[in-house]
Amino acid sequence: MAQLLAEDPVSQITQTVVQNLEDQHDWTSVETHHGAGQRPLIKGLPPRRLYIHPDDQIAALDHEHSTGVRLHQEPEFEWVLPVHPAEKWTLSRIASVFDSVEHTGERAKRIVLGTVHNDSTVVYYLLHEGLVKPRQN
Amino acid sequence: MTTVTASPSRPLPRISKIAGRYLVFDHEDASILRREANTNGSLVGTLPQQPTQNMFLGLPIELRPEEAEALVHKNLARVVDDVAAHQAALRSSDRTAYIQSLRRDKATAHKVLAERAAQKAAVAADKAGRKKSKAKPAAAATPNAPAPSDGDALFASAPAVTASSPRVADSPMDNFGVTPTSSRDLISADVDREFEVSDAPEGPLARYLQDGGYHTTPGLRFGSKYSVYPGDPLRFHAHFMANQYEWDEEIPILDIIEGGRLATAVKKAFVIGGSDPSKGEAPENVTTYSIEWAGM
Repeated sequence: MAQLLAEDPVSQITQTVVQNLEDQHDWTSVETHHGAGQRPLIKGLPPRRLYIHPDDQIAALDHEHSTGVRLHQEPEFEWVLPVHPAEKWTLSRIASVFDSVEHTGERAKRIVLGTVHNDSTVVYYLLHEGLVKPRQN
Repeated sequence: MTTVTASPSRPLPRISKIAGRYLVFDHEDASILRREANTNGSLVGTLPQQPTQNMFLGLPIELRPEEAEALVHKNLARVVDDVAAHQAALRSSDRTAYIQSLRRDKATAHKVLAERAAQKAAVAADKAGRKKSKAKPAAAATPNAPAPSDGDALFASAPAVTASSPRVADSPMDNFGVTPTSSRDLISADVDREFEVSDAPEGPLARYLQDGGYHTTPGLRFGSKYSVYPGDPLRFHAHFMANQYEWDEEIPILDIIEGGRLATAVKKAFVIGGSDPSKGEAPENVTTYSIEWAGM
């Protein structure tokens, strides 16, 4: 703990988010990526699919209805950006984070914003690139 | 109602700039903007005696400055300094067009009144004739057992009636009796062109949303700048509440949390967007991000 306090705030909130993902949300293969000059990003595998686009969900439900086979169930690796509510970001910084996400083939469509509050509550928001219509929640 | 569409013969929809506000007075222009430029604006016209009854607002529609700019940028409308145009038109000695329009209105009114009088006379004559001819059969038929042929006759004759009677909307005086909302006959096209202005402030996000076919309404009720609809607001719920930022403007994370939380609670996504000045011109250089609660 003493070592943690000595560290800078960014690595502290990063560590808090990593622990929260592993212990509270049962994510696996959680690892921290340090880009050059970038904020650290956390890559991990959630136990269930975190996000399905509403159009894909409708298609999947139709498919399941007609064939009995469920689509889009396997979880995908997600990228988490730990932030603190007191921070201020800019569009250009968010854009550079999206540019820095490692990818093979398709570029990452979203990152997960892990906001660490002072009482160490972590709340997650999906940050999609572009206009992505909301889910029917 | 007849459908109005933008045609080569019709001038671009006219946006009047009055006291820094962008207003559309012509109902056909408002219809074209809504139908073809996915811009609905807000109805702001009211009765002087009931200014607080905002359930009954009518023309003109007011556009936000950046909305007007987006339309001008895409060459879908033009903005005219209305005060200057009116002063020029009223001071000029050549008012023949305006006088002609007044004469035309007068002739139309005469024609409509004559037509209505004729219609009334025809209906009265028809009634009188029917009474006489129906006097005998009506007395013979029993009220609780109508002849089965009655229904057939009704349906058989119905299309014939609608086909033969001229529809009021199709006649040239369809809008006679409606208080005119625009003074377009007063100002000639040349004078109008002279006072076109293009000083509306640019809004990259407004351009982007207009270009993408989205409708927008003021977003104040959801604490954002725009409510963004995937189609006409009368048909769809808003999908997004959107805010515009400069490319290097600081955005507090707390605002993103609040927006994301509120938007998710009302089944929307919170959108932040802005233009990257190093990547050319809006709307092509606009980047947007949609935020929603992750549900975990």
